[in-house]
Amino acid sequence: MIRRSDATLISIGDLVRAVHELQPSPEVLPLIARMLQLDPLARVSVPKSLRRRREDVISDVAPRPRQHEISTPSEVHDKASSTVVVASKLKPKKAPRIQVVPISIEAVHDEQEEPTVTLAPPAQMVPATDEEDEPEPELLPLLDPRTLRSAIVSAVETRSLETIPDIDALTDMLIRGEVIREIPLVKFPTVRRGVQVLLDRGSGMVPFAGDADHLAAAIAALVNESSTRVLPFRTMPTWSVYDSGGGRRAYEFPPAGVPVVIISDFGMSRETLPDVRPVLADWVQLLRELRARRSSVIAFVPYEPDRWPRELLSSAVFVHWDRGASSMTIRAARARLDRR
Amino acid sequence: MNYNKQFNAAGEPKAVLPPEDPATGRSPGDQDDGTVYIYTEELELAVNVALATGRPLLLRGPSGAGKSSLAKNVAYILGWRYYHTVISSRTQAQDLLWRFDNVLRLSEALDAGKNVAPDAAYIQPGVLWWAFDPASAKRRGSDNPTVPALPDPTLLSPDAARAVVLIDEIDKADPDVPNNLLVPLGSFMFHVPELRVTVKTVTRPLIVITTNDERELPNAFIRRCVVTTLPRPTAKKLFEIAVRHFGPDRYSLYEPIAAILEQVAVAKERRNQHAPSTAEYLDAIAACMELGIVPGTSVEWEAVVSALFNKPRTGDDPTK
Repeated sequence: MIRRSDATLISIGDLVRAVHELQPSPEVLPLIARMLQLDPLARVSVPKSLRRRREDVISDVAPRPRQHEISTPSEVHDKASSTVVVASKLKPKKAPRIQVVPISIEAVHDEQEEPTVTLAPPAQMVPATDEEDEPEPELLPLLDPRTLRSAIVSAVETRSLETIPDIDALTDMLIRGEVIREIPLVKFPTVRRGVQVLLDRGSGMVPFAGDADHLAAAIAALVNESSTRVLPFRTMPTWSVYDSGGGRRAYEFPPAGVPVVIISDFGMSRETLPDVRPVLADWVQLLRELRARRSSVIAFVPYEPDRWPRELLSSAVFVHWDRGASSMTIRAARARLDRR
Repeated sequence: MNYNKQFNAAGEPKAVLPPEDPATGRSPGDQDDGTVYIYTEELELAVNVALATGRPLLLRGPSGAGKSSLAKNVAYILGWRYYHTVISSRTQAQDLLWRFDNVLRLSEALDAGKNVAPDAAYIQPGVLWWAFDPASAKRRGSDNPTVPALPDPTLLSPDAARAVVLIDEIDKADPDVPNNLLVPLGSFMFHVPELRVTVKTVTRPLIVITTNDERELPNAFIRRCVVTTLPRPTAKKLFEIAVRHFGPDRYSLYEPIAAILEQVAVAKERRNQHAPSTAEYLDAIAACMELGIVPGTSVEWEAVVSALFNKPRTGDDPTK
């Protein structure tokens, strides 16, 4: 007789039921608890094989800038000429803590330059003392893990034609006495087309590098690694993207209809620089071309909507990349763009 | 391991094979290899836990670890009916419950000379309907005698009260599909609105679900399953599998082939590539037996190893 009335999560009741039925010896009990995911030490997580592949998704892309010293590509930037030292949101991985880090801008930027960003050097860090040894609270990810999955699906799903007739549409046609020349079909949301992820490795995205990696890996895990193409870039993808060996190559558009996710600040963090207009013009051009190829474009931007470049808003869905982003807000943003 | 086993992997199989197909001379139950399976104690326990709790059994592990062949062997040993479905990127959750042939119905509705059959005649029950209530599935959920009955697609033990269902490669489905299966898999019931019928079972089936983890499954789905991971079989286990498949007379083949597979597998895993599977190991033995090839350094042996164990990946340059 089935007693469970609904599709409930596994609970202690399942363990009791299993123990009642199987009468296991004590050494078997922990195994059963683990299979039921009730052992707190054996919570089901992404298996090692998948974790390894997730890392590959990221390592497949250009070498990530080291957190202690990030510099822009050498041909457009002279390291010695500009240095910005910041007390960053990035934390050193272990106990050492940043004492006091002055912020200074030590150079005047010329037209093509980006600043070199240097975190506090090791000499300015002090080892944690015993009393400071308590675990530091982890930084919350920009997207809420509980809604991350549905948010990603909402961002990358496309509509595909399936072979199931749309009965409502058909009924409507019959009622209106229309001649049915073509059977209307139901369009299901799907992620099977894959996705291209443009991952900004520019200096302005350094504080968000960990989150960006996490988001790219989550997209790959959800959409399927083999149909997810992660292309890192600095400043502008159409100038060049990085290949798996860290070399540069020309950007290639995805096949028609494949959605594109852009994780970038679109140069917003460099507003103090003399001129960001040329980059913006290139973005406008890229988004228009993607739209012409029927690729939907979703941009995850870590800055507030009032800073988003207006020129781009008619060609892409902009999502404020923070805890408020959810499936609902992304769908609403997509619907707003469709209405334009 | 000491516990009361409802499922005993070493027990005498109770399966009844369906009648042979006159065209092929084979029973549908023979089509897949499900009669031989080497269990670990942990896997046998996982099956028993799934049976005791009524939860789906979610099997993880690399390709070739034996995930897909487990379900049929469990049905074979328990003497239960067996249904399977392989998920594709186009599969929707409802396909596992039922499908309504709208095109046929519409076509008949538009054909003035033809009477439209009752709605039930356009219903195609899915594997879960067959597993939950085969009598209702045969009648397509209707008591109307004009609705043509369907044959039971079970591959084993057609008269058994309970069933094993394999839902293979669920990670291939779109992300919403597992979530849409939560209620039917949790409550063993679902509603068919076209017929205003609720399909439910009183004899819980065992649902076995496999994933290669190519796409992450929703936590809500995983948290409703008994989860176990099948590791890639070791050389020793491969050897055991070969003995069960081909008998004990070919030791001289089993060991060297298992050893070379192990080497290739370790090297491939280091490069994060798919290791050759049990099926390829058995193929290699069968090829060597059939062609009289002896493992060693011959050109023929190298060709077998290359063809079965060192398959190029899509996109690899075949000349390199």
